[in-house]
Amino acid sequence: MKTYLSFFGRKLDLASRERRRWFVVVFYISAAIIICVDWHPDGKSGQMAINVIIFTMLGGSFLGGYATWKNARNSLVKPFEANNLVRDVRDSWYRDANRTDVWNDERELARRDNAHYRAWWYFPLIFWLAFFLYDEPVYHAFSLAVQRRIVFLLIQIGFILSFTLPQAILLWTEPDLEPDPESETASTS
Amino acid sequence: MRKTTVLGINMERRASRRRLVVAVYAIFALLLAAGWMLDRLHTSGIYIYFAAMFVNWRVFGGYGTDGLIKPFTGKGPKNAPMPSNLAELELRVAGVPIERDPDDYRNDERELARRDRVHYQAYQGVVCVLAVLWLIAMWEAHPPRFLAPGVLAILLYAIVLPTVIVAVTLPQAIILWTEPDMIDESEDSVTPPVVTVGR
Repeated sequence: MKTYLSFFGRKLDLASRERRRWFVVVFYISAAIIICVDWHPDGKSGQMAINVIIFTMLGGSFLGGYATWKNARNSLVKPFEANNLVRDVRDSWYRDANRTDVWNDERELARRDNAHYRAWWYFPLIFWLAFFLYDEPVYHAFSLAVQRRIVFLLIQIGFILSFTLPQAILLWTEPDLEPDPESETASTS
Repeated sequence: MRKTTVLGINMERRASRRRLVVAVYAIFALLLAAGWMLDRLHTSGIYIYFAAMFVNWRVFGGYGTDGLIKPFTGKGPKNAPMPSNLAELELRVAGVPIERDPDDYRNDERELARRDRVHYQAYQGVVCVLAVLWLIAMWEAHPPRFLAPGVLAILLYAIVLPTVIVAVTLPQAIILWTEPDMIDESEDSVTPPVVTVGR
């Protein structure tokens, strides 16, 4: 896991767990704002789906993990599948990167798996709610159209969570790290 | 794993466990098809969901309290076990708590690592389904012209319930599918290797 994030040319120090937790909170508040801004109970907000995927791609590239592409080495969490990439692809993508910046060691693989176990709970919940709400009006509290909008909303939330929650759990739970010397010199200068 | 039998059938061999997994998903596929033809899963879907919970509870385990796999949480059952003999019954009446064997519910280090790994593997598959649902939901908001109205809504509804069933059973199914044959340790320890010395 990296201890800093390059953000518009500046290095944001995230070595301490407290700072990482603030980062996670800000990330999900941003996601909630995007969803709330585009939410129309009676309308069809296909724009929300577009915004959600843009947010997930951009935000996911900061978090890392599922972002396995070339620039992912600048993300906080190492690419989850870097060890399994085809050797030629890995060598071409990460040629100038330090091996330890990309490859997951045994402990990191175990932490990755455990984060996915912890993140698993919301899958059955979201799918079950979607199934339950999509069919019949529940006690006639809402119209079926509104309920289907709620299902649409749930799927958008599930989409964001599925690509970001394991990384967020890792950032939330990892202890304080040694600050990176490069980021320290950058911040002092 | 905690138990080695289901409905009296020995599950020590991996081939038996694989047959069980195939049978369970085949039954669910049949139930879903029947439910779809019967009432488009409107009411039958609820019962199929409860059937999945029953499979978790009695057959697969993991997220249930019983079954082949130990509880993933590693927590023991809240209720004390039924007394198996008169002495235990007397102890229970006397107010002495009867503890369940920790081997029944506590996962060792290897089992915890296995549990986490299969959740990682299952996560990849379910994320793909979620991405498909996201695509359908987006299309439903702005349906393409080449599709009849309402098709995407039916498609989304038809995918969601099988996904619920997969989401509550897939990690356990992967464990049952991949764990190797169990070796009876007592047989190994009782029969020492025979050494013959020629003269």
